[in-house]
Amino acid sequence: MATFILSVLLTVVLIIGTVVAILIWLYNNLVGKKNQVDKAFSSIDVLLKKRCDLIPNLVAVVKKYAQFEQQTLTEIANLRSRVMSGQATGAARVDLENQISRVVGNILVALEAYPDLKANQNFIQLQYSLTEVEEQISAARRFYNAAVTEYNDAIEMFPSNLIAIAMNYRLKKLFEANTGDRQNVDVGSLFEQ
Amino acid sequence: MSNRIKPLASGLEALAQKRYAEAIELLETFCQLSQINRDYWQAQMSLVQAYIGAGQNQRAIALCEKLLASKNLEVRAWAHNFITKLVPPVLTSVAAPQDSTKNTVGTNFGIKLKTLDELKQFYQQYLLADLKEFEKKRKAVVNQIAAVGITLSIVVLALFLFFPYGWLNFSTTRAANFSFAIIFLFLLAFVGCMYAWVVFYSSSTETYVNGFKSKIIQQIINFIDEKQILKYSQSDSAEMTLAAFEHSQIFSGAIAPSKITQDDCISGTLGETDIFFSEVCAEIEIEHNWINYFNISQNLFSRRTFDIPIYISVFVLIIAVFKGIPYIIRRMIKGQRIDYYHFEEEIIKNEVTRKAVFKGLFFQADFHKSFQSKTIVLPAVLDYKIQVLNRHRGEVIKLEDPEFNHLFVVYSEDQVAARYVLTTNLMAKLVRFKKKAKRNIYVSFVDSKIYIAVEYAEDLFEPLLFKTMLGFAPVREYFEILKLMLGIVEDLNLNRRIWNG
Repeated sequence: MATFILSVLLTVVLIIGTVVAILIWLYNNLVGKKNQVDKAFSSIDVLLKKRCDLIPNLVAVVKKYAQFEQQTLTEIANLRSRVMSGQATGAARVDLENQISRVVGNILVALEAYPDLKANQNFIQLQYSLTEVEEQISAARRFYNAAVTEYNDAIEMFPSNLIAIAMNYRLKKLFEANTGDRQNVDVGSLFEQ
Repeated sequence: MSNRIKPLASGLEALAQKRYAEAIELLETFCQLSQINRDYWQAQMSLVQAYIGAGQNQRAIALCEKLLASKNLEVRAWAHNFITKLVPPVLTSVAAPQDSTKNTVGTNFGIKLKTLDELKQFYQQYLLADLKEFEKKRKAVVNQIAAVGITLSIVVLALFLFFPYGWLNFSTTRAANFSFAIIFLFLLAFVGCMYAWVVFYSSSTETYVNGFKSKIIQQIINFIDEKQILKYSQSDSAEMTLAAFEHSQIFSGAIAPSKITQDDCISGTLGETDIFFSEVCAEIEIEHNWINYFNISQNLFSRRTFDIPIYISVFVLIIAVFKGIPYIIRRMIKGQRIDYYHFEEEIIKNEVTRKAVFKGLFFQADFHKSFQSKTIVLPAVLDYKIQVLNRHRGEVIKLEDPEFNHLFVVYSEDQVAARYVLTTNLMAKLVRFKKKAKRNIYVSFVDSKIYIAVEYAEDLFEPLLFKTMLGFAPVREYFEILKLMLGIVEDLNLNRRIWNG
């Protein structure tokens, strides 16, 4: 009789133990994925700051070519100071950064018409650095998307979705191109700048 | 002259007022009549804009490409700038080609990758003469080998026939010792014959193989490489390749090789990329230290022959025979060379066993981006997918390209750096390269260098003893392999240097 009770007790303990172990494992997994998303986001941040640091160099090199429109240069200097001041967060920050990408792109393309600037060693170096930082930003965004996809999968799939609901985790959004970037480029208007 | 200026001015006016069709007509007439001067180029550039305005993008691009080839620096810069704008603005603008020697668009940096037909012609005109000489040598060697082979087999047969079976008696220890001594002597004679045969075989094949490589392969390389960019050497010191192999960490952990044999090294600079590739065989060595106690040849020449029990010596000799015979037969049937050193160290003396970790071509080059981490791309076979075995390589990186994920598995320490190196573009190119090579490919990106290992099971660039050397097929094979390796720079676009590094 005693052994029977003992064996039942043991089985119950084992079952509960396994369930608890599984729950712990699922919880840790979920937390790990959430932290991976945060890590990915901060790596994008680091690279965006790195790009911001290159902008003063760009302005300095281009300023010497007085024919170049001062208006664009001041625009980009303004954007940069707004980012560095740290006041913009969330969607506004993303917006600012996208604007910076666009203006820098336009500057570089418009500079194609200045052959002596193109031959300047400093400028070439700067161009390489900008290309490199843009590609690294793109790599960091891909990492962010991969991390977010894994996180969203874990939140939506059974059985971890039970824990996710309990902990009130929400789906996160992937990085997407906004509608402005998706439109085809109007070559004519670029010319008229 | 007013006749000429009028179309230009009115053409420009029409363009400004967005009357594109009219502008196109006027400007085209002007260009036909004008000489090549400033106005002409002005008209051409406006014509491009007019085409765009009228929606005729293809003609605009065609004209732009024509302008790219002009002698005028500003026109080229403008055309280059315009073409990059016709593509969605990603920061891919490169410094406009300042001088034509640096423009690598459409050239292969002096290496013209010829077609098979041209190779066939070259083969018939130049190679056949040399190949016929080598064919004669080969036939002479085959005859020699046949002659010596027959003599040796007669000797071995005699050994078998005249073996005194009757004297074998294991009843008393003394008789047993005596019997073992007889077996020992017999085996010694047999092993001696094997040894003599291998020495003869390897030295006679050596002579004609070396001549073949230095003449024929060098000629094929010169045929492809008209400007003498590449350097071919038959056997360089393998230390640098071993260091590179270890640096690449493709085969690391339990399967890290300790010895590399290297053949047929080709190095050079294609465009701005230094490359080096060679045929390697990377092996792990396991030393048999216990054999030092039973070293027969040593003992034979000292007076200690019969200190070790005689049956141990017999045992050791039997090992040699059992390892030696299959090896010799396997290599001879295929007509391949017998590596004398391998035979001596592994079979006769039994000092080491070597197991091949990797056999094939190993390619090293500078990568066009700079990065400090390591990223390793391995074929998606089961043992590389098992995370537990590969934990020392880093984390598994899940990338976006589904075909790439199907063929390869990626390990890296740094997620962002791995994606910086493996752009979607590069992933597509790697998939295409793997399909071209049709073999297992291992790629590694470490500290701004790229290493590619392509696995080939058979020996490359080696003539076979029992096959005629006049065939076109071997020549074609060597050519395809060279094309594959030299094409890596072009296929993966390693010369595109628009990043720091």
